[in-house]
Amino acid sequence: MDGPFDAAFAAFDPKQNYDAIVVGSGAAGGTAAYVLTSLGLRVLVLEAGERKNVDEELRSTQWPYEHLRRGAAPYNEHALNRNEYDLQRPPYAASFAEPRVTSYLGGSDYRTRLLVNERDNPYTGTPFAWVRARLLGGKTNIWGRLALRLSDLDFKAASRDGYGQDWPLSYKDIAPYYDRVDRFLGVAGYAELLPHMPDGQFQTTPRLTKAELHLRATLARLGRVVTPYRAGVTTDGLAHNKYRSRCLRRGACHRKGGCDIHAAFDSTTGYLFPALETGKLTIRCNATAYEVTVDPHTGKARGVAFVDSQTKKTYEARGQTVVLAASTLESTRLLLLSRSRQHPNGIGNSSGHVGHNFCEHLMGPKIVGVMRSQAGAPRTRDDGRPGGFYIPRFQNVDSKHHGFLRGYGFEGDSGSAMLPRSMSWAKGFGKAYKKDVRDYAGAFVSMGGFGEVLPQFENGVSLDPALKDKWGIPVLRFRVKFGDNERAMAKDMEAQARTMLEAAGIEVHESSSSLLPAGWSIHELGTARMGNDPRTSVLNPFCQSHDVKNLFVMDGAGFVSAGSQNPTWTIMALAWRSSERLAEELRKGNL
Amino acid sequence: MSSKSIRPLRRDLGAVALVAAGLPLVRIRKLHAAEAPTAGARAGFFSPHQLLTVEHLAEQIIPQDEHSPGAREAEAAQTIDLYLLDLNPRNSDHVKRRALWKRGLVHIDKDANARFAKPFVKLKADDQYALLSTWADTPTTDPLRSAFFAELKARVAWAYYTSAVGIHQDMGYLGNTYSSDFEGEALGPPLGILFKQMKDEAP
Repeated sequence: MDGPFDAAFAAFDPKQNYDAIVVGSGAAGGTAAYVLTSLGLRVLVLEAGERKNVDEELRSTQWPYEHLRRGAAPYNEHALNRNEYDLQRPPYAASFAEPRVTSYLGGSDYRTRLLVNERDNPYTGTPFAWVRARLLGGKTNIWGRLALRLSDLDFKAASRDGYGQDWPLSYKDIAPYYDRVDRFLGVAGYAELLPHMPDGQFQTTPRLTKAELHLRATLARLGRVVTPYRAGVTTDGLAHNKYRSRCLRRGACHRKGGCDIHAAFDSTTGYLFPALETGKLTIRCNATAYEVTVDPHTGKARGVAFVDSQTKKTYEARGQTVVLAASTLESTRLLLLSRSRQHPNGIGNSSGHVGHNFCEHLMGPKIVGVMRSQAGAPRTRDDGRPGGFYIPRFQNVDSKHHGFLRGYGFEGDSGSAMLPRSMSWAKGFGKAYKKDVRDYAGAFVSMGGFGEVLPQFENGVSLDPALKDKWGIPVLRFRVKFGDNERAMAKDMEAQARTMLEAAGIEVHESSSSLLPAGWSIHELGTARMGNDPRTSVLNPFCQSHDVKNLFVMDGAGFVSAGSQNPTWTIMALAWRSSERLAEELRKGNL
Repeated sequence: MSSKSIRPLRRDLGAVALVAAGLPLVRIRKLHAAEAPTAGARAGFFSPHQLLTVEHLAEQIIPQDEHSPGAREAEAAQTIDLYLLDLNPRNSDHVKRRALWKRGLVHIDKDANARFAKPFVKLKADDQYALLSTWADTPTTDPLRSAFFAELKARVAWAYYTSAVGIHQDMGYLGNTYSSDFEGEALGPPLGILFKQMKDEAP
């Protein structure tokens, strides 16, 4: 597409030696591109996908009846569902006749073209719901917006319970960078002054519905927290960014993921456009990276080899430093693909830990309740906000739970929305059904859990020895399995969800502890973890390869453990910190 | 139940959406031309009689009341007709869903004829309600009737509550507009302060 900064999208020069090559343009790549260019570096971003007119895809204000299929994706596509992930093994597209098969996030006409075609991008191994969006801005185009900080409860988890390893950094090391991200992108939330859920530099907070305020008061007596969704959304506007509007509280934010006024953060308008304004940034779209090339004399990274996704011509981009930010598992795939005489097991992999210690958030446990006292209440504009509510971790915080390690949080929502939640709940048919749907439309409270999946050395990915993707690049083979800790945690999540709603007098309509397939949370983390010991970790605390000084991996791959909080804000704070370090080390001549 | 109540599908809005989405409108029609039944002038999934039957069934599921129009006014039957037409003939779940509708519609007329000696669309509204009640209460041992009723109800609800009538007239939905501030009341003191007080007061 055409748009601002067209020249910078056509300026890639294979003869140039860039200060930094950033692979990926999502949350991590966007952060790196912005911070590095603002510090004066000449940066090349390689993006595997196209530059799409995302606003035309999202059509955030379109009414369902203005769409021929009421928002559904075209009939000749198939979006994978839960059963298909559970019962079949990847590559999933092989079982379907449709020319286009997407991850479970497809099925919506507003999202489907932002996702990869599984047919072109297969993988093998154990069942895994791998959601990928190859386009400028990456998965931030469909981001769920919850913007949370980790705390030392997470960074020093191993010291507390003896499992795994601590992070090689503390909250105080990263707090200033969370602040920078907050101020630059805007985050809305309510300061609760809780040590294990640190507050940010908050803009005007969204509010809670009546039912949520009642739940907040009830759970506070149990020492638990119901707080408004901490959203990576600018509710007051950003004077320094003309590409993003403030949140208009307009509602209909239920088509979560995507905001065509860009009040919700996305990398393109949040980071890349401001970075392009520096004049230091070149972006090459349709550039599928397949190898970090190596200087045969020094063993250092020399650049990145890529194939044009459309013409299939190959190129090598040269840079003084290389930043991988291709998403957790794609960055790991690139490390493994980059074999050379100096790095026979893949670049940065002398420890043998690349592809190991995968972690994420389990999903599945959920609850739906009905607050009878809300029946027939006057309609309110409850969905005029970026998200519902959040219940942060409460297990294994002040006291030890004997059934499992670590903890989980809940994301929830309640009140009126465009589609009445009561329509599949109300019994019978006819006038009574219609009245029940109307009366109870705003009376529902629902929430789903996100639980910390423990990193295990065995869990992770390797290269498949045979299968290649559309561009001839070896694909990933998964070996990811949940363990006893995850299963015990899931049971507790359902039990505690029931306890909490019942304590508030909210009638439980349905609940479940059944686990969704691995990967469902789209919070893939680990597989190139950071640490102080090069024998047991891949990166140092600045996301810098222990083996190759001018190579950095700035996405979720460096996570040591997952915490229970949604990771995007932490990924960006770490990338900001690491980018400042990269620029400083480059200036000093240390790279 | 006059033939007047079969309205042409409201293609104008859909066409706007398709053009906005950059989708070729012609393509969708062409793709289905081969497999669509030739029912008079319009090429839908249902025959005119089936469409009329669905319209009556839908109005029974969500009838007009003193508050708002029902499924007929919301053109739920036409929305379902297009939905079924647009399903994927190569997807076995979709093929089964289409078959369920066709079989269900045959059987509802069979039941109507057995009890009232008339097809469903010729019954008085009260008789339609009575007949449909027997389907609604069918145990799952009668898979066709229970499955068809569940599918009918879910699909009519979807068509109705995504329609302009459902969203605006019935539900009185207030969102998808702008506002100066978030709805709701203030939150009270930060919970961290409350928890500290609770700790201090504990014996």
